[in-house]
Parts: sequence; C-alpha cells; structure tokens
Amino acid sequence: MTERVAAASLVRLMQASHTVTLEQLPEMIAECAAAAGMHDTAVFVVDIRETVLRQLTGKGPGAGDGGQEFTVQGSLPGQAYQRVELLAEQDRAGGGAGRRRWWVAVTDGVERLGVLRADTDTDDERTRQALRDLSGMTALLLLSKRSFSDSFARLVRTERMNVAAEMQWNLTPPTAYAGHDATVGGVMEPAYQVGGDAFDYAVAGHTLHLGVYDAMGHDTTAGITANVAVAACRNARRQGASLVEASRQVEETLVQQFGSSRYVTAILADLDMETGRLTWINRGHHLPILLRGNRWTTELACQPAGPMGADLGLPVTESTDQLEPGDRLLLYTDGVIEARDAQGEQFGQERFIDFILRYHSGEHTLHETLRRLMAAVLEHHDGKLDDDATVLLTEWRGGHQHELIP
Amino acid sequence: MTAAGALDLHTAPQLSDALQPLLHTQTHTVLADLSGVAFLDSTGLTCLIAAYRTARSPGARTVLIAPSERVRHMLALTGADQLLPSCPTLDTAPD
Repeated sequence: MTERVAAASLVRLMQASHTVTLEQLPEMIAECAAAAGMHDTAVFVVDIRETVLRQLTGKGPGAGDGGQEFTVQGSLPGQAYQRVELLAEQDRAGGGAGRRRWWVAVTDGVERLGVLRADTDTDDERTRQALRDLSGMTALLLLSKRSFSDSFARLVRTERMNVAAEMQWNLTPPTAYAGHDATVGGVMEPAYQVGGDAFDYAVAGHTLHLGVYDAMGHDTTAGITANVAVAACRNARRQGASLVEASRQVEETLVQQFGSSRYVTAILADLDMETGRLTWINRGHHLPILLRGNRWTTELACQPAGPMGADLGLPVTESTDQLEPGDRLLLYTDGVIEARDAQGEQFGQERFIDFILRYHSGEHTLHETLRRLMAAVLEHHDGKLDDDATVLLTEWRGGHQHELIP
Repeated sequence: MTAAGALDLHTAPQLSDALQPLLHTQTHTVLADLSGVAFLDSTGLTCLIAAYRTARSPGARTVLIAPSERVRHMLALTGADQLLPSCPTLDTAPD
C-alpha cells in the first residue's frame, strides 16, 4: 500500500540535496519515491521553447544521455505539462497487475519545469497527493541547481544559442510569476538567436515593476545594449528612483557607453497590486494593450519620450490607468505583430489579441496561452523569425488571491 | 536630397554620408525627400536622429518630405516626429 510521502522524508530529501549536483538528483528522487511506494520514478524537464520533455538521467554532458523524450504537443506527458495536472496512463502494458503509471507536472506552483513519472499500485487521493508533493519538491530541487548547472542549460536547448541570447536568458527573471493578486508570464523568441529584446519584472511590497525592452539591432551589441539598459534600470529602481528618473538613468548610462549610436525603446510600468493602479512611461515603444473581459480591448496612451539612449531630450510623461479585477495587460515588442508569412502577411495586432482572448479564457493558463502564442507566431513565420518577439502578459485579479491560476 | 528604397542597416550609412556634408554648409533647412523610402528600421531612424542632431548645432533643421505611412508610424511611435517635422510634398516644405 502506498503511503503518502511523509513530510519527514521530503525534508530529508531536501537536506540531502544541498551538497549534490543536478546529475545526482534523479537517483535521489527515485530512492525517496520508492521508499513511499512510487516506482520507476523519472524526472523530465522542458526545453526553453517548451516543445519537448527530456528525461534527466544525470548521464552525459547534458545530464540526459540514454533518456526518453516526449513532445509537449500530442503526448500524454505533454498533456500533464500543458494542463499542469496529474494524469494516469490508461491501458499500459507491462508492470504488475493493477499497477498504474502517473504523469505529473513539475511546478513550483508558478513556473512549469517539466513532468515527473512514477508507477504506483494504488489509486486513491493519498497516492495522488504524494505524487503532487514529490513533484513540488522536485521543482524546488531543480531550481536550486539550475542557475549554476551547464548540464541543465544543455538539456533544455534543442539548438545552438548565440551570445546575445545567452546574455538575455541570464538577464531576464523566470518566465512565470504569481502572487499578491497578480500573475505574470514572459516569452521571448527566437529563443536561440534573440538580439536586443528583454523583459523584466520585480516585486517590492505590493508594487510589481514591469518592463519590456527592445534594443536596436539584432547583433551581440544589441544584446549588450539591452543588458546595460535593464541593469541601469534595476540599479536606479533599487535606489528608490521613480519610473521617470529610472528611465533618465538608463538614458545617461547608455549615452556614456555608446554615445548616442545605440538606443533602447521600452515601456516601464509599476502596478500597485492592492489597488490596481498602473503607472507607466513610454520610451518610444509599442503601446501596452489592455484586455478587459473577453471583448473590450484598448491601447493605453502615453506621449512617447523617445528611445532611451537616443538623447532626444523629450519630456518624459507618466501616465496612470486604473485596472479592474481580471484585466490583462500586454507589453510586447514589434516582432510579435510584424512577423510575416511567406506571402508577406503580418501576424498583426488583431490576430495577437484574438489569440490571447481565445486561449486565455478559462481553457488554458496564462503561461500555456503564451506558449501556444509563440508557437503560432513562429509557425506563421515558417519557424524562423527575422526580428525579436517578446510578450510580457500580466493579469491582475485584485481581491481574488485564492483564484490565482498560474 | 532624395532617398529611396528601404532605409535600414545596409543603406543607412549611404544616407549618413549624403546628409552630413549638407548639414555642415550654410544651410538653414535640409529637406530629406523620403517619398521613395518604404521602410525605416532602427538603424535608419538613428541616422535621421543623427542628422537632426548635427543640423541643430549650427542652427539648421531637418525636414522630412513625404514619408510613407510606415515611416511616419515609426517616427510617431518613438516620438522622433516631435523633433523631425514632415511635409507631405516638396512644395509645402518651409524655406
């Protein structure tokens, strides 16, 4: 009979993990699971484009040698990943009589990292809870190793990456956040060849700082420009600067570095997660789109103050907008709407908004919606984008903390 | 001065080369005819901004003639239209 993984055994797993490498995790997790009646446990992580789930075996340079692989689209493990659920495999041949195979999304409650596979002889609520608990702990263990593991970086790549993209993925915060009445999801393409795009968010008390950046050009210098801009903005912000002041600091830093030969357009915003009040500035960027309910959409308005680094000397105006519970705010870069298909037709703002409305209407989570959006943008462009495309989608659910669905 | 085609990474240096000498003469206004420019990317915009800056120091100004809708959109989006005025035709351009 399967026992629920006792809290004590999960704590022991966590403590033992402190001094092991990523490569040792799958075996440790499987041992802990086996002691609780979960057999053949395996951990799968998703690639950065969220198209494939790869088994973490701990072997080889990418810690995935000899492992299985499943597509996110069209496989049962992929279903568990997409829906952030626990799914049982039906009619599985082999195994003992009555033995059941499970697939459970590995998530820290917000970010989806992959899926966990395990077989059990029982199928009751305790079993299911034990599987969920183990997947939650697995997520935390993976996160604790990810930032300094080259093996992890290799495992989650399906293509060669350029230097700018290498910088950008280290620059941006995790692609998912949820807490204090707000959910945030970020996506960036072309994931392996990104040039000057970046997104940023940070939480301080009940303020959610948001930013989307587009540095001119598609080369390594564009990546460097974006890094300087985001770092200068964070630096100013952490010293208490207002949005206007922070953007001026960014401008000054860029001019010091590049003369006025390199610039970055951006939307910088602060959302008060308690009141829904959005304060923002426009540094020569595409305007944010506000989605209310399933029908009403509008582009917010704010006089452009010129790109940061171009040193145009235009006044920087702060705009404020009051969000309503359930509102979604879209910050994005031009590559999303300007991606052209073989016939030269743009993906377009209308299709972009329709896509978000159609998929993020209860059927899919915010992050799954963004995954599908970027797959559609890429497909529209025959799998190869010329320009960077970034989306930062924020949902504010004021007063509905318990309903947050990351 | 007349530019045509796409004003981007590959063509912007040519525009720079053409614009800069004009700005250093005793000109009051440089009219940049963009009627043949279908597309303006960030490098092209940088080039126009550089022209504006160079012109400003000796007291001259840059006026864009007949920019296409896409070019106007790019200028308005970034705020550069606040510094680089446009005229629909050469005839309506200021002296």
